[in-house]
Amino acid sequence: MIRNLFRNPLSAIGFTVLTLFIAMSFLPFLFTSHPYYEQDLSRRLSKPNSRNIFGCDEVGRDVFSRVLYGGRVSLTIGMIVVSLSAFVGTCIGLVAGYYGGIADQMTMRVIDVFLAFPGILLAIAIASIVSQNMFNLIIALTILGWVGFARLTRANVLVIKEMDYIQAVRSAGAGPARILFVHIFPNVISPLIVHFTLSIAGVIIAESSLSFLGLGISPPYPSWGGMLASALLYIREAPHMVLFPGLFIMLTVLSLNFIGDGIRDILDPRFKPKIN
Amino acid sequence: MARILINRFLFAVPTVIGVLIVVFLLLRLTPGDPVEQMLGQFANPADIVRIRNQLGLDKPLLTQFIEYMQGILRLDFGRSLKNNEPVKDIIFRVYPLTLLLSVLSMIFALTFSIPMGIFSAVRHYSFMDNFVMVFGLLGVSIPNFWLGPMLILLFSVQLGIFNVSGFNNWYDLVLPVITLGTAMWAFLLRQTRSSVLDVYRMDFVTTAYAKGLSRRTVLYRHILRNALIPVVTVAGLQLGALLSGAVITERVFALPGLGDTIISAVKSRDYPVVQGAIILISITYVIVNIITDIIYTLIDPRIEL
Repeated sequence: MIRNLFRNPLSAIGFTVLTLFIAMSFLPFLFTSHPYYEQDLSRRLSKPNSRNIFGCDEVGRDVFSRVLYGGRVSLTIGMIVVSLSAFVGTCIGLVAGYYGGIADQMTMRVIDVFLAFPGILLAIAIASIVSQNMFNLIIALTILGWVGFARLTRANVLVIKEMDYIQAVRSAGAGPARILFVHIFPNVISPLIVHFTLSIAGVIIAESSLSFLGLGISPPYPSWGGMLASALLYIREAPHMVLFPGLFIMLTVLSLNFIGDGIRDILDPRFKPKIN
Repeated sequence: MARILINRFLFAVPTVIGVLIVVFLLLRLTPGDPVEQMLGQFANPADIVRIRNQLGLDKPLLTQFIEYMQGILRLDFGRSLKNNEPVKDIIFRVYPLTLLLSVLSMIFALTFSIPMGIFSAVRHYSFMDNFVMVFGLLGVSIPNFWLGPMLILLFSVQLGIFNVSGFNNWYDLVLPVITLGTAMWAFLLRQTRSSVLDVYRMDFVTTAYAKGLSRRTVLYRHILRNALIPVVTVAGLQLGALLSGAVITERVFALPGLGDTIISAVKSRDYPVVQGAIILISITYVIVNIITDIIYTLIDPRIEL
């Protein structure tokens, strides 16, 4: 799979950049000697130089270290939220799609309601009543994320369950649980993998947006969105504070999109001839 | 026709009621006391009782729900906890700016995405097509809370063409519109290109060429008429999504719109304002989707109701 991914130049770039970012975020001590919290007021707002390659922020902390540690938070939250959403959404989608009837109708109405809140609005609403911490942030983003997985799973299950081989296993005496997990699930997994990859990008943007609005990760812990929010106050004196966190968000999201597109090309049988 | 319209709107009623229930339950079913959350740990007990009474949280849940629904039907969202101003007055005062920003961004996105998408599709896999599509990919990946500051940096700080923030005249909306519209532009660009390419491969296009019609006639009369229907539909459905992006854009440029109001209200835990604003945006979103749906069925003769 990874070898196939490397045949597509864009996903090869995405994969390389993302791997590099993951290494930098989770092993920051290999790349920087400054802790993200180390303050040095004499270096306040200093421009990028040989000691601080991305410069310093408003209290003299190293922007490079903060970008790395912020990346760790964003990538971790992205993985956790998307894994949770995928688990919850897929289970609900499988059951709703397979059993149909009233369970399916109810699920679809609930999904309609969740989709009626555009973008991160529901997460903002949740942030307004719960206290601000990592756990609540993950819950709020998962509430946003499961819907996509549920819809996608349900739509594919509806197609697969009508196929002849499902009839065959049913007449061979397989129970619903066996049919669902052994015979249907493996056949709906491809679009879910693509959605999983692209969702991580979506969650990273959503988390950064909330942190930018001051509703996500709370300072002094670094987050890409939070760094941009404070950078906006010093935009005249220290443009480097705006530049770097955003650049990292964009490159991460772009890489994930490239990888997602690459996986889609590999998994979608309509594109098979191009790869082989 | 009238029956179709009524049907579509009736179909949305359960969704709207669902939205209202979710917003209602959010405040009531969250673990912990929402009023203590609002006022902080060291609040005066008398204040807690007063606010709880003002929000009606001391009544049974069903009574609260009936009063809440009655209020919404009269467009009464309660009063702000901060200055006791009716929430209705606050949100309807700032909403026009948010709507204006969203609509202008959509116009910006459509103006540039459709011609470029058609161009890319007509010359698919050429150098220019790849060039445009790379820009499209950048456009969908760039977060608007970074694009905004970067535009400020270039046009306001370096070149001094626009004001950094605030809203005093139309001029101040240029950068916010670009910021909010770019992701939409990129999205619609990709949509237009793939839609035109899909139609390109259809039999009736081959037939039209075989009849000896010029490339131009085939493109305008046969391809675009079919290819742009899904693009316009997607644009309509995404207009609501712009409302959510507007929240962030308004924050970047300090525009006094609904988004800015929501975030300030969230930070000061002014729940009635948050609640009213979220209901207003969600209902707008649902209504825009219904209208798009109706327009779609009207312009595409293949769909029968």
